[in-house]
This record gives sequence, structure tokens and C-alpha cells, in this order.
Amino acid sequence: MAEAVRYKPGQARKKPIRKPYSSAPSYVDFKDRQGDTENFTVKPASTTATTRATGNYPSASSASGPRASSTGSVAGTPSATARTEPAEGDKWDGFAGRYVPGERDLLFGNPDIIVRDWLSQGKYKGNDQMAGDMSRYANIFFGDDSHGGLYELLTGGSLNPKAIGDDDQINALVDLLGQQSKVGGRSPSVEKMLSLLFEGFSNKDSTMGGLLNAQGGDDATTGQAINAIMQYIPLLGEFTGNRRYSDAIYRQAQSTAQDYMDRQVKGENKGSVLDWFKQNFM
Amino acid sequence: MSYWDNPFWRPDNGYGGTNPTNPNQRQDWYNTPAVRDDPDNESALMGEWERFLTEQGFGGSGNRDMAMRNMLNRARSGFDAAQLSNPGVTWRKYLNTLEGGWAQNLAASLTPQQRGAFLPGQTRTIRWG
Repeated sequence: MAEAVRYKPGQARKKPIRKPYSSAPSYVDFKDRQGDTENFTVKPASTTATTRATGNYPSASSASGPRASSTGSVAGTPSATARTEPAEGDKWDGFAGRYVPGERDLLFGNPDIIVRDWLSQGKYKGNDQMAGDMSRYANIFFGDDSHGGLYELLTGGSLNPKAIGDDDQINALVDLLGQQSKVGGRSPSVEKMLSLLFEGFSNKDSTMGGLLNAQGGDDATTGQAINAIMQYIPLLGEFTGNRRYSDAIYRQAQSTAQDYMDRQVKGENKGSVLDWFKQNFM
Repeated sequence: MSYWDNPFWRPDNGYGGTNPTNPNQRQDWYNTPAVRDDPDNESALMGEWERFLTEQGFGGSGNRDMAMRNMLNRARSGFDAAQLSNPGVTWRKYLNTLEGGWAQNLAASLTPQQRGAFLPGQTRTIRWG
């Protein structure tokens, strides 16, 4: 624990005073972590090249939703990669190695299990308070049929089933829990997450890009495209420390989408929804 | 007014906080992203205020300490005003923008009644009932 600093009345605080209200949060930085040489990293698809037999398995419920699990395919669209069921004896790597691949859906539907197991390393088992606090990351990490996941966003939509296994996602969550629990740790900034969002949707081969190509081409309807983008918008505010700010971001996104639709029905739009967001959102 | 006059929160206590994966390593979570960047932390409002006052030397229960403590509403409205300029400013960051000496200047501008001080005329006779 850092040594406590004693302040006398009238003495300026030791911590330098930031220039007030001049800009968006500047203390968050995706990579440059003060006092921590380990960068906040989420393994992108490009870093893993092997297809995993223990990869993603669609849940019964997700098959009927707009997003088939977290695999990058959309219901009604033939998946480019045939999914494989877990073979007998398959194992996951890293922290995820303690779980059975065949119970993927149960685990992803109840990510609290991962948090509790992670905390139990420090004998926190049974500490509902701390598990509850840390679960806020887990509950938004994997996403579901109607909500994009933090993992997808932080990897720029690189949730390609050919390259990313479920164990990569689980291990990435554990990394995130560790980073968020470090003194002096930093969080990804809104700006960084926004650029990752645009990056993900611009990449047609990514999960997020696939959402804009729901019909197998560049012909996602305006409504589909807006819904796809909007499901990730709430995640932008998860690390701001300010719910009012994240709410403002969401309202701004709604307004941006509304403006696009208003123009669309009048035949005034010349670009895609994504282009409109890039130019007009924040 | 001492830094240590606050019986309700001690900066050097740590309150049993430990590293999540190493129970033998003490850890104050105040500057972890899990605490700092949580937009839904219900402890943030009063907790940051308590820590801020104490670190400024107003953690006790003297007249000036209590007068400063009563400035919470002003601080909150100041924070709201700041948020109109930058929606991204947090309560913690706003408090850090208050320059040293603000409390002393504020206390000096208050009347004794506002500070809650008893005037001599009031203290000579105490009526019970």
C-alpha cells in the first residue's frame, strides 16, 4: 500500500491538478499502463491461426436469434466455417482448462462461475460482495443474441470462429479481471473503444462486420445496420466511471441514428450507416 | 486539525483489502480500475467526499470540519456544472480540480453562525428544557 501523505490545511494536494473540464477523460489509455509493463491485451483473431475443434458451438436459443452465438455468423446466413462439436477428451488451454468444453453454453450463460473461480485463487470463495463487483465485466464480456460482447469490441470484432476458440475468450476475461484489479491499472478509453468499434464493423470478415452483411452482401437494411451498431454503444461507457457520461453517449448514438433514418427516408443519404456514424457520432 | 482526526476512515488502514489472487499481499483497491472506473459504484459519492475531506485536513468533527462537510451540496452542484462542460469528468476527478486552500478560503468567508460556532454570548447561559 502506498504511503499515506499528510496534508496540512492550506497545502496543495501533492497530486498535480489537472486542467479542468478541458477534454474527455485522459487518464484511460488502452496500452500505456502506468507502472505496469504488461499491456492490456486481448488476443485478436490474427494471432491465432489454428482451428480449434473445441471452438464455438451454437446454443439452441442463439440459432434462432439475429446472431448465432458469438461466432460471427448470422441466422439465416450459411456459416463459412462448419462448426465442430467437441470431441471426447478435448481440453481448453490456460485458465479455461479447468472447464469442460462441452458445457460451453452453460458457462458462457453464467460467467459468474469464472469470476468466482478466479477469486477463489485468493481464497475469496464465497465472497459474494467482491464476486458481484467483478461480475460486471463478466456479464458483458461474452455478449448474447441481442447484445454485443466486450470481447468482440476490444478485439475489433475479431471473433472469427476459425481462429478464436472459446478458451481464448475465457482467458481474455481472466486477463481483464486481473488488469482491472491492479492498482494504477488503466482502462480502455472511450476513444479507443470507439475506434475499435469502427474497425470491427469495417472489417467484413469480422463478427461485427458480418452483422452489417446480414444478407450475404452489403445490403443489410438500415434498421439491421443501426441495431448492429447500437448494441455495442452501451459498452463504450463501461470504463468511464461516470454513468451520466455513458448515458449521454448512448443518447448521442440514438440521435445520430435518428438523423440517418430521417435522411434515409428522404433519399438524402449518400453513404452507409457506418460512414454516417464515423462522421457524425462524437 | 490533523490528518488523523477522522475516526471513521483511516488512510493507512486498508481495511483488509488484499490482492484478488494472492491473499497474502495487501492491496488498497482505491486506484484499481475496478473501483475507479465503475460507473455504478454506490460508494463513490460519499466515499470520495470522505476521503477528500480527510486528505484536505477536514476529517475531524470541529466546527470548520463540519462546515466543510456541509459543503457537499455545493460540491455536487459544482460537479454538475463541470459536467455540463465535460460530461466525462468524474466525481473523483472533479474533486481533484479543487485547488489547495479552497476550504480555508471558504471557511474564512463564512460567518461564525454559518460555521456552526457558538458565540460567547450564546455559551454563557445554557438553558435546559
